[in-house]
Amino acid sequence: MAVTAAPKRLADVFRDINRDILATLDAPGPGYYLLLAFVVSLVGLGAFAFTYQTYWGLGVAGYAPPVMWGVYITNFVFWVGIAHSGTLISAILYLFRAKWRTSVNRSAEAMTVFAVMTAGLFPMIHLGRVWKFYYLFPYYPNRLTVWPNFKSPLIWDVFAVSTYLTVSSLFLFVGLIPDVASARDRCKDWRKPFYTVLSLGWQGTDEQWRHYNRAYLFMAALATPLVLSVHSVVSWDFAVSIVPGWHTTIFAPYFVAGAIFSGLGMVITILVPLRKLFNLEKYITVDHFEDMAKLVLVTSTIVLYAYLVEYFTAWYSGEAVEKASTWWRLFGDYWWATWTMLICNGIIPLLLWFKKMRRNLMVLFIISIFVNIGMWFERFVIIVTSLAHEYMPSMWRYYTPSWVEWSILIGSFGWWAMYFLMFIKMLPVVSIAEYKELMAREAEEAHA
Amino acid sequence: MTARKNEGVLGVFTDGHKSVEAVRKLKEEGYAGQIHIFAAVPPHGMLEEFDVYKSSVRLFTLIGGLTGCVAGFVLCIGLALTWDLMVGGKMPAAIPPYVVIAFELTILFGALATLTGLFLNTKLGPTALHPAYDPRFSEDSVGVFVNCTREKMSSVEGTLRAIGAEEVRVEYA
Repeated sequence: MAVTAAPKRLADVFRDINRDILATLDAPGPGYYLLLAFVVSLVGLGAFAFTYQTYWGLGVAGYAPPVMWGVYITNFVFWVGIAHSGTLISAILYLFRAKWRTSVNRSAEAMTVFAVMTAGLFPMIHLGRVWKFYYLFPYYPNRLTVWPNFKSPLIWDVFAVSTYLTVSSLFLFVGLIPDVASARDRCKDWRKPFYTVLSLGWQGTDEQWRHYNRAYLFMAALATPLVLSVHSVVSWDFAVSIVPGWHTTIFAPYFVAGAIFSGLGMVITILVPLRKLFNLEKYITVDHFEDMAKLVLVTSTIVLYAYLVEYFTAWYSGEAVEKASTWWRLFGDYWWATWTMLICNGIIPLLLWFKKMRRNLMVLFIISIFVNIGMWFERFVIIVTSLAHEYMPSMWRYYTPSWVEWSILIGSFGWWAMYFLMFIKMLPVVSIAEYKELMAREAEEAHA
Repeated sequence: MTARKNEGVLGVFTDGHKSVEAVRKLKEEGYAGQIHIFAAVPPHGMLEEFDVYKSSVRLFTLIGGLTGCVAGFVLCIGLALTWDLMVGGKMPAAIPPYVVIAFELTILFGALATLTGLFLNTKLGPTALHPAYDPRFSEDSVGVFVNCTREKMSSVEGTLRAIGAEEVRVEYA
């Protein structure tokens, strides 16, 4: 009897999963619209500052030699970093068959796509003459009458980030197909044509599943080396130069670990309120948060180790310039930024050694905010302090971002949050098909 | 006499094991190649029941990846030779820095080709749903559809009912 009873229960579980997860697509309340209006107003602030800068020129930003990379490039690296957790959780943990990813992969993937979309704005904002941005994309045969230097990491970056945006979007889209079909079958309002087109006629046939499973696996296999390459390439923007504080071989792994660290921090920041607001406690459990907290701890220790190695190398190398640069970072004009970075990224996450802390969502949420702050400051410290204290002492300068740069930074958070808020009301925020697959597998194991 | 494309019998199951059993039994009765399923998640062991298990999507991925790799080197070397400038003591067609571009394009073309392979193989697109498709198949049920002539319908219906289909429907579309 037990043999026939178990699958019946599984059908009930499947029905509950559809009901609960698709309920997130129901008409939102006034609180949602209020929040959306708030983030759109942030976008408006950023857009105003950007328009102002486009009209008056880059001089309205705080740039002056030698600091010609400031908050815009800091933001670019920060948002590319945020984008890393999505592919880590989706692709890498998928290949490792980590069960807990199922509850959080969809929101992390969406977050990734929107973070890359945000990051991609900053090289254009930083250009000043934004209407010339298409020069970033060389093509063959060359008709732009400029010499594209493929030996420069800046052009590698264009290829890496564009590829990352495309592949992350495809990965998110492919994962969504079966779930959008579920939304299509349930929806009866004006959104039905939208889901019908987006589900591409998905019916879950044997033929479709056979090819789909392989395609998803290959996408994950392609995305895994990509995620490692993208932030390595971003790190080479700095490491390939000879600026003191940048020219170090540790940058690629250090940046990748930092990116995963910051991305996970942001996933936690989003998911803690999200599960509460949409009653998803059954699907995104405290165990899932604990697993994420463990990964945050691991990556935090890697990042802290990288900081210490950097300082040790500077000291042990005996290079006067390198030593001076490191000393200045720690105790010079920008000491506040460096120590914010060290405390937020290296010290505060150590609380996660304690199980009680990992399982307390309020504590975890606060730690994740510190991680976000710390990782923004890490990028700031790397970029600004190295440039402000470059080669010639007569050129050293204290750079302060202008109101335009701060406004665009705030606007970027609004831009990213605006897309995410729209996403959670239009598409399933937890992967229905994968969650069902997980339930079916667990039922099968229990049955065996 | 062969059955028309959408003509046949549909069995609806909420018990995944029974749907797998139904497919197995129908194959024994000689309907292999005429059976299709609809499922929110294929029940354990279901896909193994179908004769072709491997997917040709992998070929698309491989060809796409290799094309991307070649395209990356062609783009870099081609443009470098167009200008033919010696910079930083490096030859115009220096290979190591171009590996990065070739690597990124390998991934990009590989992913795009994988998606193309998925679309072509599964005929995904804005097509009409199968007449036997039911919205329950994206929720809690598994549909087993047997494409057969009217003469065979009663026998298939009997098999589906005997195994425990909760609903059996005959489709003449």
